[in-house]
Amino acid sequence: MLTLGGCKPKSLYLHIPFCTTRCSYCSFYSEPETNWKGFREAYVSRLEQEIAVVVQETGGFETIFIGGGNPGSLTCEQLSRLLLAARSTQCREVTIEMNPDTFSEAFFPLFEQKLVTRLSMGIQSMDEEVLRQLGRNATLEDNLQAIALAKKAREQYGIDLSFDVMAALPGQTMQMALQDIETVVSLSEAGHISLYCLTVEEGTELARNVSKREVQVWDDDGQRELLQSLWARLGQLGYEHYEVSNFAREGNVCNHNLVYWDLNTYLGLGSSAASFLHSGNESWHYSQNQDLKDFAEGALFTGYDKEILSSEQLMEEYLMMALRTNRGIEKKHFSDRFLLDFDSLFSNTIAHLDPLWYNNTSHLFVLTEVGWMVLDEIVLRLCLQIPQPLDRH
Amino acid sequence: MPADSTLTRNFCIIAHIDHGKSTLADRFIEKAKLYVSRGPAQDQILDTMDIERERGITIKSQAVTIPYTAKDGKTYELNLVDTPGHVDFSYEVSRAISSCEGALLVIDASQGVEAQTLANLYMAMEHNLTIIPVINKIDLPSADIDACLHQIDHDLGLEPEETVLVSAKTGAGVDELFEAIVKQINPPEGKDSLPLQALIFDSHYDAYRGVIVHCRVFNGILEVGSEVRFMHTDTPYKVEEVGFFQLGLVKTDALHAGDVGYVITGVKTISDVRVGDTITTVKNAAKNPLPGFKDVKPVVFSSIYPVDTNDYEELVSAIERLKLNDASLIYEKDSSAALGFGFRCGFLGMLHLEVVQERIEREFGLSIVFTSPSVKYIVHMKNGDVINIDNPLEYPDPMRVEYAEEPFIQANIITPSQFVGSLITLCMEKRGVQVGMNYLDEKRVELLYEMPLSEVLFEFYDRMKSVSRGYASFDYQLIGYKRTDLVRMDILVNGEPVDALSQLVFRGSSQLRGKQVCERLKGEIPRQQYKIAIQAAIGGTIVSRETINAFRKDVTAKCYGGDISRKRKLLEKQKEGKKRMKMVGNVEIPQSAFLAVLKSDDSSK
Ligand SMILES: Nc1nc2c(ncn2[C@@H]2O[C@H](COP(=O)(O)OP(=O)(O)OP(=O)(O)O)[C@@H](O)[C@H]2O)c(=O)[nH]1
Ligand code: SF4
Ligand SMILES: [Mg+2]
Repeated sequence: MLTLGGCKPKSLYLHIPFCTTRCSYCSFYSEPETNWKGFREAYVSRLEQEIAVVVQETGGFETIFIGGGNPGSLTCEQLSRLLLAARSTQCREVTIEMNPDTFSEAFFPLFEQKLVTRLSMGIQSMDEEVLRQLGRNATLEDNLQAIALAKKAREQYGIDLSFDVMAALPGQTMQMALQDIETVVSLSEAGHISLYCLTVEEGTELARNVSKREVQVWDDDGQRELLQSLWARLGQLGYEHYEVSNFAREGNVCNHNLVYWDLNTYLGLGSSAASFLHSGNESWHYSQNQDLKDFAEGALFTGYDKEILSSEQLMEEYLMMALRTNRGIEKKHFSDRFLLDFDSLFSNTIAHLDPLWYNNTSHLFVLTEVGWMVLDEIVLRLCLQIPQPLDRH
Repeated sequence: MPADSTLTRNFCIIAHIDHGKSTLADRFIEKAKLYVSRGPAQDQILDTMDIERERGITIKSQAVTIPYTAKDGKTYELNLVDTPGHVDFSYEVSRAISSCEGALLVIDASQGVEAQTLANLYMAMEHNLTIIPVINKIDLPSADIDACLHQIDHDLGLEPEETVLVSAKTGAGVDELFEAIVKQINPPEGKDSLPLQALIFDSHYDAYRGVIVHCRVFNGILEVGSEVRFMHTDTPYKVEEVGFFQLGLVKTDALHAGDVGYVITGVKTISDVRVGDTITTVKNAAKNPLPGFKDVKPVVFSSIYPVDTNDYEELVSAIERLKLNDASLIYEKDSSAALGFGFRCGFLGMLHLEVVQERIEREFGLSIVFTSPSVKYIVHMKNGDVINIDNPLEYPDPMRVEYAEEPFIQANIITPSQFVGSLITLCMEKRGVQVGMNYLDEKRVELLYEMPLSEVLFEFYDRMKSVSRGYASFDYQLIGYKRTDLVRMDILVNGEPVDALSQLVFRGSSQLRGKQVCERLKGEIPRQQYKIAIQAAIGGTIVSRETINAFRKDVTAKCYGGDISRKRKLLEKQKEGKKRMKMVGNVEIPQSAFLAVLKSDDSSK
């Protein structure tokens, strides 16, 4: 049973696990249309009620993000209801994800009524064959139209635009990947781009195809070279590389996602959504364990599993998240938060890292783009230095 | 339990590996309803260690006492010992045999007589045990009972008429087997009235109760409260508890002549307990100890080090405790430049080595690495000195060596005739020399080979199984030392020799071996911050080289609110993995790399 326990989370995430069909690489919780047909309204209705209760309790959120799945599987009316329930005066950013194939002017009222301020569109690739390989529903034509429509919405209602693009895709060359970025940026002039290197996640259709050797993916060396080029190109195009996979022009960073990377508090509602809450001396996660049918039929706030974090786990999560951004770790903030000195904990480990991987000043530890390439290894080495158990009382 | 020893029967179940000993023991236990209260039983219930269950083989002999009411209306006490079948653990079988009057020699109806069937039979005959041949797995469609009966007569020289046919799986024939045990196996001969002589045949350490000694009482009575002494170490103790083995320990007041059970004496010094020692009473002591057991001769030597050098003290206590339960483990202190303090150990074979590693890790929660295993060589020096060497690091300067000798074995391989060709090829590749070849019958051949022990220890067994599709079986005896051409091969990681990876190899195979080791290390050592060179060197000459590139990309593409918890759990797992890495210079070498080098060749797999 989810309770806020005195925490007033800054941000709200709503998960809409509905897609038309499933993409081959997808490891998010989402179900194809055949599985959610009769449950959509009940799902929305529970979500709406849960939102109403928490908004009562917290007074509202600074940022809201509706993600999926494909929130475009809901009607404009359903989305409005959710957002109206969540609306508050302190809200400064509301993002909605949309898939190109289901996006249309039918959703424009959301922008018109200022319920949504930011649109994030999953373009992924601008190559017909690659899109097909990935099992996307959108065709190249859908992508082109969606970009045009998004621009129209920006012109009419002043919303911000972000596009998701994937790289290191099967059948893609370095040239094609660069061209995708070029095309998306020149057509959309988007303020924000998310560029994800394809990850073969266990249990996906893609993983099966790769293990059967039916699909060939990029090796590490190739991926590194590719990312280097794409990152450099985005830089030339005026984007600041502010997180491993995220790029923004002036004033266009995604504030909602920064909450995650700063390990600030957020509440996630809906199937498979995750929360991070903090109150007094305690920090904890909730993760929603119901599938969409159980969620649709379940009582309010049921199915949220609580996991209390030890100080050590908390520090691990912080290192893991904070080093993803170009803000890095502010040492003062670190010692305020964990009551331990960053340098005494980590300077030994840092001394053994390749100096090209980081900038380390008296007040800041931040990774370079070269360091980001091996972020997981760096985080792992730092985490090995966390004394356990950290809880000293 | 009957105080009357004429109602006691002590017997062991012996066989070639996998012929169904432990499954047969299940049926005995089941018939005796020992686990009625425990609900449905698992298969091979006596295989209690995790590693036995995972590998599906028995590693330790297990004793269990079973009450059985026979057709004559009397209730007997059956002390059964299930034994392992794998060659490495024949010491376990020999000890079981010393505490029994009879043996069930189990033969898989679909496999017939195999190498360990013979080896174990001979061992039982040496001790004059009554042998009941048992053909098992008669439920299998491929069962060939007539062929087995013929082999029992012809190969084993036992009476086919006395053979009992069973299926340990379905339980068919088990009742007849019970009756045969009661009728054919003699009751123990000892007397309660004589001075106490109880043979320690095993022991184990229990975190709550300390050392638990497993013994067979040959004469006298072992009673709670009495003062006893372990004859070899000559330390007196008071008996705190005695009992029988059922599925767990079952307390009783006294163990009588003929009984098999356990005793707890509050032993403080673990090394006071020696398998093979005799327990007697302080008053009215026995004059002589029982014969005990033949000394075990380890054949493979390797050193164990804790991955974390701070864990040395824990390793000391782990080894002592493990030794209680594994009398065949032999060890002494050792140290290495790369690995710190550890133990030089002797093992009965490579499987024994793996089992020791797994038991130390699981039962004592320690991460350890092994150095490259070696046999014991005899090195003749130019100055006339003769030295024994089982540690590559002690190999002297080649300039001072006249010649070296290595241990040889005679292998007896029993195989269906169609695999003879490929087995001969394999034996030749392993420097084997054929000394005999006998047709046991139309379909089965016995091959006799003399081979260097070092060639047999490492993966010979697996190769033999694979070229014969599992049908060939083998057994071996050491036959002595022969002259050989030996070189020491060092492994260098980034130019630094890693002493733990040095090995002594036959010159003729050194080139190939060096290449294999480098390739394996390359496969096991993960990419690191810098490029790593792995080289094999003999003397000053590099014979092989591999390079591991620096890691290039290791970053999670997407990490948002929903991913944090899962990602952290992954991180925690990786942390555990990292802790199992051994730092050698500035290179992290995973434990698995040390293990991979132990395995010799997989060229033909
Ligand atoms: N069909 C059939 N399978 C059997 C029978 N007895 C044993 N098995 C199977 O044979 C395999 C080996 O059985 P175990 O009882 O573990 O053999 P074991 O002789 O104790 O083996 P080790 O202790 O490793 O030497 C298992 O898969 C058993 O299920 C039988 O009567 N019929
Ligand atoms: S649209 Fe997104 S959530 Fe839906 S199946 Fe494809 S990748 Fe998964
Ligand atoms: Mg067994």
